[in-house]
Amino acid sequence: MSAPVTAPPALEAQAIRKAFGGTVALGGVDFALARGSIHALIGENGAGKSTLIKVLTGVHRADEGTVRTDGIVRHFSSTDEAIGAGIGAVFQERNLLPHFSVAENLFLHAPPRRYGFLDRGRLKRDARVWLGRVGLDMSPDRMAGTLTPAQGQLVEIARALALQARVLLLDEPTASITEREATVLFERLRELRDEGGALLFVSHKLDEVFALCDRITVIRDGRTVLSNIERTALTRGDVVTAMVGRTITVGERRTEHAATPAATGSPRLALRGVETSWGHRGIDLTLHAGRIVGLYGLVGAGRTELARAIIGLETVTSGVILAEGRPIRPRSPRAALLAHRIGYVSEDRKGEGLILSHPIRHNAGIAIWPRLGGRLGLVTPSGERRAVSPVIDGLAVKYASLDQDVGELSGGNQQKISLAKWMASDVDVLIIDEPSVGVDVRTKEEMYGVIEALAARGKAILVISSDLAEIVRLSDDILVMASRRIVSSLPNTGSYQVLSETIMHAIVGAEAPLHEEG
Amino acid sequence: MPADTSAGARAWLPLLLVALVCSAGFAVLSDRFLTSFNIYVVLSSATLLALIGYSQLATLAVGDFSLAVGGIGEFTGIVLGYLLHTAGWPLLPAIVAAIAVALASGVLNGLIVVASGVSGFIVTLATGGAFAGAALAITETTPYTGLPAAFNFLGTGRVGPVPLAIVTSLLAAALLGVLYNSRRIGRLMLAVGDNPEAASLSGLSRREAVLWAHSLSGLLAGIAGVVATAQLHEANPTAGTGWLIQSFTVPIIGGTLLTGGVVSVFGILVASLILATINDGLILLDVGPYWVTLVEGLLVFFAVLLGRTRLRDLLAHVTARAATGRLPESGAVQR
Ligand SMILES: Nc1ncnc2c1ncn2[C@@H]1O[C@H](COP(=O)(O)OP(=O)(O)OP(=O)(O)O)[C@@H](O)[C@H]1O
Ligand SMILES: [Mg+2]
Repeated sequence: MSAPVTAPPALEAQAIRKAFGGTVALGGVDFALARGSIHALIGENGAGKSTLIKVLTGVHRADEGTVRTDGIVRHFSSTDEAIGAGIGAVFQERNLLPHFSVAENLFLHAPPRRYGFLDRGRLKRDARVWLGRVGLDMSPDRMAGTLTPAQGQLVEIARALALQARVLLLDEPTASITEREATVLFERLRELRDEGGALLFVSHKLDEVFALCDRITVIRDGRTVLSNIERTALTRGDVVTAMVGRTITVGERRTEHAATPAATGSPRLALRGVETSWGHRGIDLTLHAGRIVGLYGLVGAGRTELARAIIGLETVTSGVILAEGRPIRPRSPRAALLAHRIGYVSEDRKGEGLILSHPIRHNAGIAIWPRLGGRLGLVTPSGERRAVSPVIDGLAVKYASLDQDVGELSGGNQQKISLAKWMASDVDVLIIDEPSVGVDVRTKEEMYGVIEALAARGKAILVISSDLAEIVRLSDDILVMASRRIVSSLPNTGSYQVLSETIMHAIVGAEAPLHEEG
Repeated sequence: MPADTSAGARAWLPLLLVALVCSAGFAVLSDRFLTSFNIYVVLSSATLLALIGYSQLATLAVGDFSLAVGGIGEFTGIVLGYLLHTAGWPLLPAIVAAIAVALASGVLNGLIVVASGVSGFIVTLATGGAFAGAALAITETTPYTGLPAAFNFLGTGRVGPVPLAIVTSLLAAALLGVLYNSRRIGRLMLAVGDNPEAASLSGLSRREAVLWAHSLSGLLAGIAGVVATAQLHEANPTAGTGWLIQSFTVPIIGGTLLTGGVVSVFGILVASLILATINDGLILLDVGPYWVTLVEGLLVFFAVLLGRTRLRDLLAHVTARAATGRLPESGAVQR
């Protein structure tokens, strides 16, 4: 017996098929993950990326095909068995126990024990170490239910790292974190690779893919279209073409920017010297009809909390909010919507934006029920379908039927439904928090088109985003928030390079003194 | 007490105040309230209430329900009555055997839930009825009386105002406190109750948690059945009639979440004491039994309000800020 010339892949999938009822999610996918490499898995929303990861980790059982680790055939029937075989994963959806501490969430699979009892001292010490590795400085005693989506994502990444698995599968780990946190994460991933780890990385951010990954696999409609190709042999154009199945151009920034009429009349919504219980100070912000304002900042800068204060979910302690020049103080999102026609698309789609066990048409139509109701106030399924289907098709949602539960859609498609809900509604002011988290490159363009069309119809729009490229692509004006203040306000010149340097400078300048205080 | 630090688990704190105010009121209004015997009566019924509450707490922890608490309690009492009365078994083996039957009933519930995938609510609706029916069939509705004096003493013996039986509820509290705080199984049950999806994706077994929860619930219902039998001096097949409502009232007042994942072991002791006090006081004041039920209902309502309102969230927010000295969101490092 001679030793094999090359070692078998750390993890390998062959001819995997998986269908959910009539929907074929995977129609024969081949995939191999080698030791000492970071492998990108790319595909449009609904292509089957998450399903493949779930098959590889025993969450789903494949209808056909085989999974091997180090050449040995495996039939995982639970994540427990996959973890046992050295495979760790961060799934696309957040999976934390809200009433458990961050520390316990980190070591859920194998908490430290002493004489059979949970060792809380060691739990906390170990937790600090792993939190530090992903750049999180928070008390390990914090309840996971109080974390923001970005913090939750980082905690889950830390949890996967703490498993110290040889194979790590990451499903859109950077979806809700900013570049800065991602940079820390990438350092860790490169270390793991250099130690011989096998990593799978799913992302819709091609910049990241090209900066981080060694190999690329692209799937489309549940089939492999580019299999295990060296990154250096591919261009972005190749990858996008493979994903989409045809050649498309991905826009740089809105070209019709010059056509946006200058602001006239009183602003739709204005904040003057607003302070909140969250610590915002002296916030000035002006939203004009037909214009898009981008609010950029790092995770934790306080952007979401400002939006929540505008719609009455946080307390405004001083300053004024003006709608069409008149002071308002909405007490609830409902009041903001009905009395002042202000809509807010939450960044926490799953927690706040969608009812997963309800059909697509319900979820997309929920904000327009008052309008849909006929003379008797009855909302009929067909009325609902008629009202929501144009919007849903405009966002290229991949679904089997409008009566399908939203929970069955892929992550990115769920995202689109929560946006569709507000696009269908008739508001004057729309605040959109992280519009394109988890949305593929093609749909991103379509989504931007929809947002621009809304602005063109006279709506005033505030886009909150941690993706600077997105801000530059969409906004007429850019605001930068750091430590709950607006530290910079600039017109969009369209030059990504110049803007990004100016903005980072503003953020660093604003934050440095705060750190010294703390 | 870490299992009691999570949201909702401190809902009993204001209730302690309610209990003190009520007690003071009753003491002023009735000179029979603060007597040694009356305190014994209150502690006795609080003991039984706490055990009934713990039996339900066990299933609530995993986000499930048991409607079989009363049925298992009655069935256990009748098995015990039969062994002591008809079969003439000695005390200790009879008690152990009866509790083993209760445990087996709980395991059966758990196995059915896990194997069928049907919710515990429906499964125990059926099995609970079956256990209660079996108790009635065995006795043909006639209670076993004339139980050994030593056994009756366990139920109604007292040292001054303190009933001997209180040992059972205090011991249950101590053991459950350790279980839910520090033991793998306890944390597993709470994890599954808190977010079943997340727990399962982290490699934890939902089936294991649910099986344990129902088994534990059966065991505790059995202990309640034994205590009830000893307190009554008879094994009565209808002893558990009112237990169903009580089994939910006590944990809810105590701050255990109906949705799972958060239990308050200590809260059960406080809640059972309050219910027993109010019940006793109202009877001493000659308030009709229907009014007692009404007051209990209102109490549950206020407990839930106190436990779940924004007022509490606000307090939690303020204390969190005071504790860390900074705003919650600034936890993410920005360098
Ligand atoms: N539990 C389910 N029931 C029914 N259909 C499902 C289920 N899970 C996934 N699907 C379908 O399988 C297909 C692939 O979904 P998957 O989540 O793998 O996509 P994805 O590539 O991860 O997309 P995204 O980029 O949006 O996360 C989709 O059409 C989706 O609707
Ligand atoms: Mg996905």
